[in-house]
Amino acid sequence: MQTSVVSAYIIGIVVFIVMLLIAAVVANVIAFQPGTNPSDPRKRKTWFWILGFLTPVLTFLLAFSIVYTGIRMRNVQEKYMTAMCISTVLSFLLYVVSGFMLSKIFNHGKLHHWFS
Amino acid sequence: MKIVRPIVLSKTVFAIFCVLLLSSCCNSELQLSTVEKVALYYIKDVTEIKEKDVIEAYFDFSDGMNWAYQNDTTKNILKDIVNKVSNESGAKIYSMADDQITLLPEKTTTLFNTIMSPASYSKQYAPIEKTLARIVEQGNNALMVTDFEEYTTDGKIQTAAFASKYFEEWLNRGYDIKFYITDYTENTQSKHLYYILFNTKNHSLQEKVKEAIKGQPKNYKEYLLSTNPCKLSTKYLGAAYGGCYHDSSNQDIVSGTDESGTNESYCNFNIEGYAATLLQNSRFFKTIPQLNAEYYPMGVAWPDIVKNAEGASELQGNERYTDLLRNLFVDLTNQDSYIVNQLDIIATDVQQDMDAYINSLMPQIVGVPEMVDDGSGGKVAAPTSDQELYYDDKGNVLPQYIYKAKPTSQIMDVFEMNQTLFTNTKKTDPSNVEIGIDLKSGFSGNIGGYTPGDMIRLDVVIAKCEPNISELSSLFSWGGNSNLADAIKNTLQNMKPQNRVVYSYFIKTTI
Repeated sequence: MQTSVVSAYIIGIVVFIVMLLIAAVVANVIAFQPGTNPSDPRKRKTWFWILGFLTPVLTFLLAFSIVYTGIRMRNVQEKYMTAMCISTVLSFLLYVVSGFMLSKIFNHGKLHHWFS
Repeated sequence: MKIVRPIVLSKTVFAIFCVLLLSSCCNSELQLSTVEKVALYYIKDVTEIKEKDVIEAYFDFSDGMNWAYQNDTTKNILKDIVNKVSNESGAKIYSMADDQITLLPEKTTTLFNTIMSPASYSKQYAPIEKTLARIVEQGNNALMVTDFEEYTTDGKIQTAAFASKYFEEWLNRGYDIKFYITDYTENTQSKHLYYILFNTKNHSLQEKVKEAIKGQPKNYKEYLLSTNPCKLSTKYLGAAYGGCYHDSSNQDIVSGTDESGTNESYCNFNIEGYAATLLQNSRFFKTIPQLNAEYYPMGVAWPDIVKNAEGASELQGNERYTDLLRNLFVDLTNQDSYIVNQLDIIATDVQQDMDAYINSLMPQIVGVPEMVDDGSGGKVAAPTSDQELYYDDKGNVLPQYIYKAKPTSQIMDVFEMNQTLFTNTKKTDPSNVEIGIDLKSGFSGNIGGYTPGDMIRLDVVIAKCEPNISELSSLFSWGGNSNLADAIKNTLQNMKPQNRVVYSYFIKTTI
């Protein structure tokens, strides 16, 4: 009967990983452009942040629709809502921090453009 | 307020309660489940009386009875009852006459003819008080057939209410007395003949008599002298479900009571046999008694229960929450002895007292250590590793395992009985009066002076009742002699079950 709040955090982590992977794939799909002022770094950065902002939105929506709507005990609803909010923020922060670390690790690759 | 603990229990409660004395067991085996602890703790307030399955019958053989048996109704009832009782193996039948109680011959046909023959009723002075004293002393299911006319030593009719003390002693054991009353005329005076059934808790004789007179036209009256005017039963979703709130999918979304059917989950002791399914490996019970009690392990803390109740009360239709506990019903149709006007509840924190009591049972489980020679002519205890936890070297139980009742603090401002529900259902159907218990308005979930997680005992008690004396005179008086009516009246007044506990909920929440 009592739903564990752990699922809210698991959803946050899964969404962050999936979105970061998508961002990495997108960054790699965007081809290098020749010239002195190529637009591809900006595209990668834009997509990174678009996916970044989608991460908390998706985290919240998934947790809300999959789990929260099935909870009927008010005290559990309150606990779960708190956990969902924390997970939402965390998923975004993890996305940004991980993206930053990856961009620094691959500082000669396409991911570098996320924070260049 | 003085709390009177319940004595409304079947005889099995006493007969089957068994503490097993085992001398070698490991500590893990000494762990008791909470359901078991609740049952043990509830039973501790009940006096153990061993009931024998013996039937006694006493027939008044004084000459006045011939008048009574001239009446066909009276005679037919007597015939049916005598037939039934005299055929019971081991039944002891006595005559009451000439101030003597005499055992009648056991042969059924002789016995039947003796009792039915008008020639038997030629003596004087049936010793009614002596018989009452004997019935109470023996403590067996007993039938007494008499006009209840006792004579003093100087041959005058006794008008003093001599029966009160015997009735009270009988009722004090949690037993009851059933009267079947027929009318007859002696010369020109209207009198009554009484078939008085002294019932123990098993009511075995009562059942036999009921069966015997089943076909008779009901031209007799009945009266039940009892201090247990409330008969309680539950109407829940199923044996494993409690009276807590359930939504449309049968989930308790208010208290989160564990209804999983284990020996740590909800238990309804009021359903005969159900507790046994949870306590199959009990070291204390061979079978589990039927008790007027339930155990609720609620899955959330009190502040959360309050929140959840608020949430559930916003739901619509049948799902709307109304009370914390519902669907306990009391049958108030039998008001022969007392008219119950109001029930109420008393909540107490019993955790410390319960722990102390359960601890005191441990020495009984491990058994008394063997006493051996200490080498200097004395004796010394030789306890096993388990026994030494509970006994000193002289074989005495350690003081911390001797039960001394701990104070139980009353919990105010948390629960209240739904008196509107009680009053309305009482008006509609007195045989199905519903008891609902809710949280008091304004209760935030914080209980002053209460350690969260402690066991709460919530007793349903008789708050207002009065002896029903309206019919006493017509049923139990005759020709100016009101000794029996007075005796019953005195008994009712002295035994008033005010504050008697009729049902108990044991509630534990998470911290």
